[in-house]
Amino acid sequence: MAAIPVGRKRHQNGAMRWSRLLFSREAGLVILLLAVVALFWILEPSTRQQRVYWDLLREISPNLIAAIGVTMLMLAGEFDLSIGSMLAVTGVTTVVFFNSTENMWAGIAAGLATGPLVGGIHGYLVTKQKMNSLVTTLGSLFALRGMVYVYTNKMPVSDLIGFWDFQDAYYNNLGPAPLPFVLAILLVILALIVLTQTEFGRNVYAIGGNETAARVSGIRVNLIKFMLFVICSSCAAIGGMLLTMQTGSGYFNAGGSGFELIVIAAVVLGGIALSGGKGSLVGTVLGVVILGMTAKGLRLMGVNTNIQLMVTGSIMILAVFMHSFHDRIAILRRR
Amino acid sequence: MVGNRSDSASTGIGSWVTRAVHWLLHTQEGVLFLIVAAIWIFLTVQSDVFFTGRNIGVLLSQVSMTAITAVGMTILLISGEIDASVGSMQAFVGVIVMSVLNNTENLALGITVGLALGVIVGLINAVISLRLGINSLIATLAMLSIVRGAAFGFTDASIQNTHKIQTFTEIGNGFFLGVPWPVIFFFAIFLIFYFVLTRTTFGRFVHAVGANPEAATLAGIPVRMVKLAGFVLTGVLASVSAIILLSRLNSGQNGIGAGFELEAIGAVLLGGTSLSGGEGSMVGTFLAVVLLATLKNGIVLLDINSSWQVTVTGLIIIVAVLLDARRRRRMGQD
Repeated sequence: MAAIPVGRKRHQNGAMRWSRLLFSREAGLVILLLAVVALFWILEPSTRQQRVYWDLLREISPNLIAAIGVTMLMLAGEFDLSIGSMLAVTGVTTVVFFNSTENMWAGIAAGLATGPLVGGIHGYLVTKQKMNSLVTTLGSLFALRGMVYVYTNKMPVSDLIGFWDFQDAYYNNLGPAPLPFVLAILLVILALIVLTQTEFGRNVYAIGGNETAARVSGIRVNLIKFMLFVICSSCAAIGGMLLTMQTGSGYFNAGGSGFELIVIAAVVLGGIALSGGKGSLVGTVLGVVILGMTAKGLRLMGVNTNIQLMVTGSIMILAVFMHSFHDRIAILRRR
Repeated sequence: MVGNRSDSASTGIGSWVTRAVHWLLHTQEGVLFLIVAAIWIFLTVQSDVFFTGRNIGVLLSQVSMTAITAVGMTILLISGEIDASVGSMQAFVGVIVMSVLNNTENLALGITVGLALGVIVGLINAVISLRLGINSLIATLAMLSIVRGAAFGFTDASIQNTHKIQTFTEIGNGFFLGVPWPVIFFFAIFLIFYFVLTRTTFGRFVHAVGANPEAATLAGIPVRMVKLAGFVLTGVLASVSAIILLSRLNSGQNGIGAGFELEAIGAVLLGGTSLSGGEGSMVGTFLAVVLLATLKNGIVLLDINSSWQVTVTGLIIIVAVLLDARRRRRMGQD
């Protein structure tokens, strides 16, 4: 730590760059992830097989994809609580169109279209009607779930035709990697490029950092927020599509047991500030993997599913505390 | 609010009417009141059963749990914090109180343990949010998982009532002078905290702390203590809800109360309390709770598919926030 004042003066100093990397948020998360993996490696022999990790990556793909959208939205200082209900809307819509059109692509298109549709409504209500996004999407969490209940009468909608290709795609691999995970990583890379290399991405951070300043400096805040809501719901729709592929049916309660909270927990764990403008998508990916690994490890150990909840909650508090600690150190170092 | 209304300075009936009209059309409470009144009239016309003492009693009893928690949540939200852990509290307090009652057959002890759990969880929420400086939404979301896990850890099945204490069953199902006990608790708690919020120093502190914590600190208000009181109060009132629910269900169930937190927070926000703190109304919360209960009741009475309850709850929240947002913009343009 003594070298820091020196490093501050010489920004290109190699040691400084390394210390930056070492003290970054992401480094802390990587260490946390390694610690979690190591812990289960010791406690639970079955986690020593490679297969477990490929399975893990397949299982967390829907969460990861949904988390991309939530991250982008939260970076701009807005929320979407309705993503859990979106999973069910997408699933039911897809399978209903499967059965009525007897065409796989029509079903997929209809299911994915629910994303922009719902996102567009959210975007309109928040940007044009100036409604608080947390409450608005809390409302649509209930409204969407309720509509699914009413439509399905709380019965799963089965694929009557049997589009096996659709289901196989979820379980197939590209080389050693599960297909859903390949899709998730491609979307992460795309989002990462958008966030770090484009004007759109810079504007997202600017809006989250200081919306008034962003507006005054000519950024089209409303348009960007509208697009972010569409992106967020669309990501949730893709996640919902993956869940539908997994089971081959539209389940009315998909994502009903707190999917939105798990995803937001992962995003916050990844270091995205609730107030917006701060954090990175890499952190989100690590957050999703850490929570997924914890849940899977505990499940393999045969720990009661609900003790898993306690552990997840504790990790969340630990991580957020770690981030606030990190922020405080960052402030001290700047002095 | 002040500038444009010099004409109503005249005293007497006229000014009273103007103020009433203003309240009805220009405040969240007034709009909610109009909606509730319209739905009550509609349901009275549509259903013979709706406007009977028995049905109104059922309606208010069913909503008393959400309402009692929402009272604490209103104060907490005005002070600028939030508690998402109240849903899991319904299960956690329920299983523990039922097990204490079964083992000791002592009602006072059971209730004391239940309330003490509320204090403890409230204190933990306060410490994580205020001392560790973690945003209370995240802190209490984490606690939502932890408390739910604790309930499951305590028992992996539901705990049946084996003590058969009559007074305990009365809490959720009994009547006093023809009024259900849950409704009496609900009204009493509402009235007490209405006065606390509007007529006491503590109430003014709550508003000040939520509106501008820095200014409140400079003014010598113990900001952290006020917020801590809000957390503990919400925890205790969530426990009261849990005990009433326990008595109504007659068994401690570890899975109960999922989504309860969203309903309670939704009702408070629907009542016009601001998410950013400093602004809110107990009357608004009351009307919002009654509105949500009326809709659910109406759906049952009119024999509509009960799945609509969930949809309508969501749509009502959206409509109320929409009305509130429009009202705010109008006031901003004035």
